[in-house]
Amino acid sequence: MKSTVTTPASTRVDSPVVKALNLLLADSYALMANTHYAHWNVEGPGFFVLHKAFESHYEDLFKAIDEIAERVRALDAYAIGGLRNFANESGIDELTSPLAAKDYVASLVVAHEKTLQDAVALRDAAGAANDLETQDLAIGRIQWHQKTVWMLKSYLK
Amino acid sequence: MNTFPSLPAALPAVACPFHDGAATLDSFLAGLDPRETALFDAALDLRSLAAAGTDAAACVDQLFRVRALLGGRHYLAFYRVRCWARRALRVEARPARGCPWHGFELPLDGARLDEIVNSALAPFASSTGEIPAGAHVRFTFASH
Repeated sequence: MKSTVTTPASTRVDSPVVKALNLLLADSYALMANTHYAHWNVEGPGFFVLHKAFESHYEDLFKAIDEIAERVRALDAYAIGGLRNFANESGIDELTSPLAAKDYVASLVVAHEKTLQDAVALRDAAGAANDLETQDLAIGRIQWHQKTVWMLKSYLK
Repeated sequence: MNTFPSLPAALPAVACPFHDGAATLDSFLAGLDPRETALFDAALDLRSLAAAGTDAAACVDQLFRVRALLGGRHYLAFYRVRCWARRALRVEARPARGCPWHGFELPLDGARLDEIVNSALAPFASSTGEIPAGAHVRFTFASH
């Protein structure tokens, strides 16, 4: 018997959920790169604390990136890739020159907030599509970014 | 929380993916204590200069004045203002009248006008460090 398989709307590459997942993927990758840069180049009295904190953050982001990309695949769509592509899609400014320690922290707060904003949009898109699994992923990312923003902001006070 | 009318559309519009648009100045002001009059008035003047969009040099100078008065306080809010300034304001220099202007981004960590001017003129210095007499620096609002 001939069978036809139609891709559900929620898993099409241009579906709101897949688009939002790929945007979060781009944000997370760009943020990971910036965090790694800060980890390498931070200097000053806060060096040890920040160097360690940034390491913990980029390690978490590395795991999250894989989880997000594989969720895209589980929805039978393709994850975006390529450093230039990630940078263009996310809109997060790349860190390319050394900054004062507090400016690293401030720039990462701004990048986390942007990523958080997009994670919220993913949560809402997944909810509207009744994709509770993707919504659960988004909620996990929101919680992590909120906690990280709190910690980074506390350093600046 | 203090609220202020939004900056008028005449302010150079910059892409604001996250908090470094014109509303950044309003948010910054909203976080200040009006009883700290020197700082508050300086921040209001910065906002006025940004809104007028006519005197970029005065805007840069006022930005640095506010930075000095802050003394490191309100760090995140002023960081967003600095990011706005980096996008909204530009430094341009040329070695002589009639030469094309070379544009530079306003440095994120700039604190003094003379430092910015010296950095902008440095590329035109001779091997002995002399700057051409006709060299000139100007500040402009970024066009879009």
